[in-house]
Amino acid sequence: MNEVKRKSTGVPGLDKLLQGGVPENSAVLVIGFPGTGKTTLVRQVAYHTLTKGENVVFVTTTESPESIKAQMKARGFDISRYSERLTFIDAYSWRIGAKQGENVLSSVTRLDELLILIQEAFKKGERGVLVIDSLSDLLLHNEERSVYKFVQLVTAKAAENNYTSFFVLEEGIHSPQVITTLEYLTNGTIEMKLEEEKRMLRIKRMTDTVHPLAWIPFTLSKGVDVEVGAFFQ
Amino acid sequence: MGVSTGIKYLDKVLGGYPDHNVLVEHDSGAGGTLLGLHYLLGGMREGENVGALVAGASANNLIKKLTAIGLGRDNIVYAGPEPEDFFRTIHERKRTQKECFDRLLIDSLSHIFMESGLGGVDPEVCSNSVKLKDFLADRLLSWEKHCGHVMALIHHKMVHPEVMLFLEESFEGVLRLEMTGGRKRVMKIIRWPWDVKKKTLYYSITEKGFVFK
Repeated sequence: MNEVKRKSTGVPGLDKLLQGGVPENSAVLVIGFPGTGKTTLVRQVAYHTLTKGENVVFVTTTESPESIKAQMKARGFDISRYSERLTFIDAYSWRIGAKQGENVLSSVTRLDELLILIQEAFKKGERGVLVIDSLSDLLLHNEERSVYKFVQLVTAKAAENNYTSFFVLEEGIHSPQVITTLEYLTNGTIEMKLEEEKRMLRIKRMTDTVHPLAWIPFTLSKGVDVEVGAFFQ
Repeated sequence: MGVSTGIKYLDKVLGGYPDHNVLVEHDSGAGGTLLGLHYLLGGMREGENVGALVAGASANNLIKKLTAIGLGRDNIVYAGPEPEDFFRTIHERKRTQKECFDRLLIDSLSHIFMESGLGGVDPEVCSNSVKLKDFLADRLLSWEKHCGHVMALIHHKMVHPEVMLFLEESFEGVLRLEMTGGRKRVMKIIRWPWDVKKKTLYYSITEKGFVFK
């Protein structure tokens, strides 16, 4: 009997592969080359979490919150009605000096400041999902060991507040040692790739979950749609 | 020949574990902790006093798993998040001799290498083999001298290959669990005190544990 509480990803096919979803309060790495669908997946998880009445803390280093909202709306994930339970932490705008204000990070090198902002956001509501898109930016601008410490602290704080964490990581720019260390610090890894114009994902590892290791095809239209039928036949 | 691995197929192929210490190098998701749990269960079935020294990022999760297989709280030693805690815990337990387990699982050595800089990518630190040797002889393996045998787990890719070579020399048996690019997992016997029937074993992980092919 599977007694582990699970958090649905909002992708039915992926949930099926994960025995219902990722274990609650766990930390999951989403790894792949650019354009493989990582960002779409974590945004879909965020949207699904909001529709279920839970909270989302979304740290963005790659685009402004406004741009993310517009893109998600275009994909059919309109998050504007959930603003009370959604906190964006803007770790993007500092680099273009665009703005300052609440939940805007002064620099992506300020991991201490980022941790405080995330902790403050957790206080807005217990239970939900934390997304960091992407961890690669933090690694590119900080000492690796500082990022490891940050990941240790942020995953512990997230679990304390009943948040499940999703960290996006770009493939091909970090050494195998960095990826292994981040895997050691987290509970699961979902890999995504593009092969001969076909999108594939696989669950490389997931704590408390018996899962296939095979690469499973998926499509991107409104969101991620995993084709698990063939696998289970 | 050796002591029970807790897995019948492995007992047959490997002839059991060496009666001293075994290092299990593993990729994330390859089943290192699961192999450790089988190791403890193998001892429990034979009426041994088994224990686990847990340390690192997933310690809380691991403690739940150890409790679930029937390990009492007195048999689980939590080393704390810092390397100093790990060393101190080992010394204190050795001194009091209270928890002289017949077999001890250490899960895992990885965080020591991450926190202390004994591994990593710094070539100066990596070449400091004397420091590593001393660390192992004085602190870690002293347990084995006084008590039973040890299985230590490590995410080997977190540690510089040169350091891993020194580490391997300090263990009588070395296994490596790897994820292949595809859907397979593979166990490689890197170092063993006697001849074994196979050097490479393919396996999957199911609800029932390891299934060898």
